[in-house]
Amino acid sequence: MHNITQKDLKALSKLACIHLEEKDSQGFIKELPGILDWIDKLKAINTTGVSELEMKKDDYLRERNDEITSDVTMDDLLDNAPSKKQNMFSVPKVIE
Amino acid sequence: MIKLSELTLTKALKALKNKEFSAVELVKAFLNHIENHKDEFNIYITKTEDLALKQAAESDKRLRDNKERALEGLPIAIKDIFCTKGIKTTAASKILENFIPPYESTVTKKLFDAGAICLGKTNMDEFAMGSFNTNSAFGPVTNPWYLKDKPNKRFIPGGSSGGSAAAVAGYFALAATGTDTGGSVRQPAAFCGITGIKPTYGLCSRFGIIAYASSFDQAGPLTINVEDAALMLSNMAGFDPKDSTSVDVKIPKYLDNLNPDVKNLRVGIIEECFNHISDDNKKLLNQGIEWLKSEGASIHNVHLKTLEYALPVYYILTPAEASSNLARYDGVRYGFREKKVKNISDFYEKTRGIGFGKEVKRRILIGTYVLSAGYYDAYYTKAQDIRKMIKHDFENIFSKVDVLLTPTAPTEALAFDEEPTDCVSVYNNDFFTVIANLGGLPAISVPTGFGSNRLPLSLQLIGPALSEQRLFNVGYALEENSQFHKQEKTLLI
Repeated sequence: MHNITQKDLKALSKLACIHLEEKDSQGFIKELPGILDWIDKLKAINTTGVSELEMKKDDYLRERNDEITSDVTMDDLLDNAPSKKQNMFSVPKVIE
Repeated sequence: MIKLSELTLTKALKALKNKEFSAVELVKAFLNHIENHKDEFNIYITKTEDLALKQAAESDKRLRDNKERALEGLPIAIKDIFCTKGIKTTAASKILENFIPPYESTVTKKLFDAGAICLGKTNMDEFAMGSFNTNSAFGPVTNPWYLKDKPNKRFIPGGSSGGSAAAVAGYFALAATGTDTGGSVRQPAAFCGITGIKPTYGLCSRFGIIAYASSFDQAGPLTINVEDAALMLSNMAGFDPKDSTSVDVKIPKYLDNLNPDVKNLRVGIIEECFNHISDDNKKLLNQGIEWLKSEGASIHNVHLKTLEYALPVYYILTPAEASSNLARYDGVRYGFREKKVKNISDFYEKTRGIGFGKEVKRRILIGTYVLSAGYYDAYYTKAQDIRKMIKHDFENIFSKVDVLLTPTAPTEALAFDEEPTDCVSVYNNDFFTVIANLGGLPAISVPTGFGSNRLPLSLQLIGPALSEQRLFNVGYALEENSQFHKQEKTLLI
């Protein structure tokens, strides 16, 4: 049986870059162990040697030439910016 | 007076060519119907009336000049996960609530280039994560079906393409696009009594579709019937150099080749399915077997021993891919940004904490967990290995049979007050559908009967890669035998 503590969840949410409100945290502490217990049933399967199965030709990604093909302009991209200044994305000042 | 409930894509196409009504008249009929029911179903996140009327005028001109294209003048709905140039595209998330893409997804470009008309962008589960369409930042969608003996009870449309399914079922569009990562086209199609197909992975370009789990995501159409699905898919699929996983094959005109002859077809029944099947589904599956047998197909029992591991594999790999794909939402370049922050970490964490809904956060956390140091091999590598085993099992199965026949969803549509509260029960809704996504295989859902509540039930056909024509043909045979569309539909409209 899995156990997720407040400290575990805090470390996980930090890795995921997501702030959790107290109410959500309590919910996830209750729910996540159940999900992890459920996916643990995979441990029953013997997968020895499976990783070495030969990849088929179509398992590889096709490559393309390193050429610019998009017609999206800088102005187009900046149109969606939450904040912009002088043709650049603007973010809050960070001094740490 | 245009009777929307009597139309399909193919019927409307014929009527437009025969000048029974114009494309503008058809669009106006749909816009009126949408307006008359605007507060009941919450189907559209964005309506595109002006664009629809402009496209319809262009279609009428082409029809007058005998220069019509394959889908000329047909009003459709687009799931709000397909980027549409200049039209808000939200993926039903607060974090993208004001996002206006500067480019067009390949699938929508192909549809509009073929003459289809955009009525609007449909509601969905946020970032396509969900099976009930109750995870939308814009509120849940209501299924147009109801029960005569419980007229006030409302049902979920399924998910994640719930808005698209409800749009087609309720005559708010002639057809709609969806995406299917673990069943998100087929399951809502089943809950709403319509047809949905998830094609072979790579058949439809993923370019411009907001990513959830890239090795699973695939676009597919939701339509009234099999004929329409065949017509839609021919105009959505095709090689695209902008998607590195796009399959370079010629796309057939599925509709022209549609043939319900199933003589000598070998139909596989997965024995392990019967461990998880309701009485309603068992009855329907047996009925499906009888229909196909009576048409000359042979039935073969097959084993998919990895079946019961498919869902846990799916719920490791898709959150892992999602946690990586959704890392791009940081509030810097586009989307929602929280302004009250103390430092750079706070900036990212608050933006994402407020911008994402609960199910999205849950899946990112699971994905982060299974990819984190110390757990990667135990979960992620293990799941990838079992995915390979499942693909291998499918290869063996399809050396013996031509198609697999299963139910699509475990139950009829659930009422809003019947939605399970624990996550694992919710995830179990995808039991019959995820296997096709894990194998990258095509699968079609066809409504063929009713459950004990008298809500629609569907059968699913899964085939080997690139067997879409076969699935349409067998699906057509099931549809014809079931006479589903000739039976009374209890709809709230």
